[in-house]
Amino acid sequence: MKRNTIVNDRYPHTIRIVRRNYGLEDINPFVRASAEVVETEIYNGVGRAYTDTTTDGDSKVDTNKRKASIPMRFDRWTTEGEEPMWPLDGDIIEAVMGNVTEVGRVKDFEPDNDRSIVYWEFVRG
Amino acid sequence: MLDIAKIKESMYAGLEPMGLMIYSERPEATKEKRTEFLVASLPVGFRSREIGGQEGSYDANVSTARIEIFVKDDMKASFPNEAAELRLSELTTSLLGLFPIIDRTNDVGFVKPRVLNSCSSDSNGYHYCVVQCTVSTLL
Repeated sequence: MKRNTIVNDRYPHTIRIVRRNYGLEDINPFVRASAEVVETEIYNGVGRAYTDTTTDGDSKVDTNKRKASIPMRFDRWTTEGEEPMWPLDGDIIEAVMGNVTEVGRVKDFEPDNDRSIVYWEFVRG
Repeated sequence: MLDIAKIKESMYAGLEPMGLMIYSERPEATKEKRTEFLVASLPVGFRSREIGGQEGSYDANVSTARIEIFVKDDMKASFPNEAAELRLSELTTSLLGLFPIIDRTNDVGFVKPRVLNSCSSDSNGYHYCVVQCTVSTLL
């Protein structure tokens, strides 16, 4: 019988989630826009990006709904002062899958068995 | 006679000083993400400005050209669909500064620009500004 060694990691991809924040908080949007944006890394490590829908766009811009599974128990997410340090809608997610890198926008986030699932959107145009 | 390709040639060449990628319509997918681009089109019909019976002899037609400036949103968790308003306004001002675009070789003029929509979302991560102008084929 032929022997095979199958390497099939549960988390073969690299997932990075970055938050952009105003460098200056103010009620006036032009004042907020005048300061440099501050970037904070929310997560950087292994994960798995996948999808269970098809790409849709018709005559509009092609969009796909993606998910990312990251091995982080839900109760391990912390806060830094007032700032929640877990993925929020509007964060930038970067999934590296071999030679392919996809960048999208985080839409939602939910707990699961011993992991967290991030829902995100990958827009092609 | 009316030559659409020549009118578009003049329009695209006239918009080149903006230094942005020009598309004829909003692309459904792009190879690389652009933070800014232009969409220039002739969305409505041409009206003849000649007296009946003289059709084509003076080549006097007028129409409307539509130029859209797209700028990628300044996405943040505290406001995911925030428009990059300052950049969009800056590009709109420099676009308006190009007018009138007159091409004597093709005998086409783009005049009287007006801003129809200063900042509107396309729901795909961009905000756009619409500028329309009058196209005339008799200078």
